[in-house]
Amino acid sequence: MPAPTPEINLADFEVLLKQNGLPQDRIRVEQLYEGYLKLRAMVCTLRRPTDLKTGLAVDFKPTLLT
Amino acid sequence: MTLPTIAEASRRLADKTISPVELTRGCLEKIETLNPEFGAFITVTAERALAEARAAETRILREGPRTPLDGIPIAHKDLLETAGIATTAHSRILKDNIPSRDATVVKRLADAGTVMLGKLATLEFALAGPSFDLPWPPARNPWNSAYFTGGSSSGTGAAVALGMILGGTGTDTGGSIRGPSALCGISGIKPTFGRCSRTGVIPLAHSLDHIGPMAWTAEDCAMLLQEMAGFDPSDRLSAIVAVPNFSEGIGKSLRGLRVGVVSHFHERDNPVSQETAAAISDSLRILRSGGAVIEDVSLSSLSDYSAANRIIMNAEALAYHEQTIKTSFLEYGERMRNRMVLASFLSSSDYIQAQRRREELRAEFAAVMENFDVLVTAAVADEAPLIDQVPFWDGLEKPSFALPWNLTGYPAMAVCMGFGPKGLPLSVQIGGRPFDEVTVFKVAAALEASTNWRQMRPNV
Repeated sequence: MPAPTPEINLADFEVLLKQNGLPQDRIRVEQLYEGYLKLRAMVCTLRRPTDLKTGLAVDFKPTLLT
Repeated sequence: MTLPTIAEASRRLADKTISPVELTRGCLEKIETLNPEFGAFITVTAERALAEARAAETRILREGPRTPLDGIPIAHKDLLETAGIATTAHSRILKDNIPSRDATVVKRLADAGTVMLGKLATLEFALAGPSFDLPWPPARNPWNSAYFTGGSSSGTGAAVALGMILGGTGTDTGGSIRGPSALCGISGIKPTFGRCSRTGVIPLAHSLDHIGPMAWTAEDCAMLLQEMAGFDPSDRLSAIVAVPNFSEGIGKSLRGLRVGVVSHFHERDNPVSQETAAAISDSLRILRSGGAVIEDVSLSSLSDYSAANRIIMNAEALAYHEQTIKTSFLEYGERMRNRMVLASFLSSSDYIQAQRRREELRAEFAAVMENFDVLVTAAVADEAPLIDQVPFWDGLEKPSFALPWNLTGYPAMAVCMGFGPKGLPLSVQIGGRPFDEVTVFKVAAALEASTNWRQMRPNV
């Protein structure tokens, strides 16, 4: 996994948390931020030019596997 | 009573040297003795089980067994709906949920004559755990209760290994059958996508969810899958394909079998323990001595599969839970809440990109599998961790060996291949071609037959 690239800092992240409307009183913001960095690192690996002919795989059609 | 495998019990039930009631009572005694320590069961339906066992006994005496599973004690992961019996997803959110119908798979196993002993622990909604802030404790490792079972079909893994049941059901969205099977030292298969109906199963991520069996041996899994599999018109992603005799390859020659080894998965992408590496080598030696042809193969990095799976899984899970989160956020356990908060930061573009990458990975995987009957990899990297030391963001840490098979929909199975220095199980994974579970079972059973690991049970 590539090193996490923080797109926003912890303070900004806290603002985002408040914006998403979920109760915050029992959430440890720093712990969430750590998870956020891990998830964003995964997202970054997918951010690259993709062949425009590549279709979606949103729904598998299992019979096509054969 | 020495606990038989499903295959052994089936033979003894048919020749009437054991009765379903005797078998069921033996399992219920184990549940009563061991469940307080191991937490495998959320709900035990003892009276109903004994009634079903008595009915099976009468049936077998009068007409012979209805199927090879007639009278076999099993249980279901508490994600599968059971009519009139609480189906909680191991969450406070659903603690009073009593479904009015059986999941298709539950009904099929009941129709086969199985005896249902109750509902088994999972991670909360099959996503987050182990958690200690839920109405029920997490299941614990059957070989040492200080350790984790893996998730999310954790109760099934523990219950099978402890002999509380002979087999059970699991679900697998990102390794949730194979992980617990590996860490609990049993066999478990994620069949091909579409092989088993998901109707009546609480979803985690609709495009990745699979249902499958877990049991002591590969043969037992094949017997369970025989009754679970088949087209179901009520599941729009159910596959219209023939159901073969899943046991037909077991015991047959491996000569000419083409086996691919994805060495970079366990050597570079997620380096495994020395003992797990040795277990993989042992497996390859056994297969080679049976006449299989072994060849190294290269795929995209495990991290690529991991990223696509985790983003899709979290986004689809959030879509399912979004409304409930708005009204009952604090009813979820802390790990689940945090996973859902993280998922809320994924964009629609993130999800689409993950699905596009998935399509590329699936195409790559399909091309490789043109040349192989099975792939062999690690099932997990090492023995189980201590239950109180599972990383908080487990699943976002090291890439999982299970995920390529969820993304592609191809079948894969975990097989016990020894024990590590802590005395906990080691496991390898056998991945097959679409709808060719027969070959996966054949290879898994060959590994089990060539070792003595199936003779070892937890010392409880």
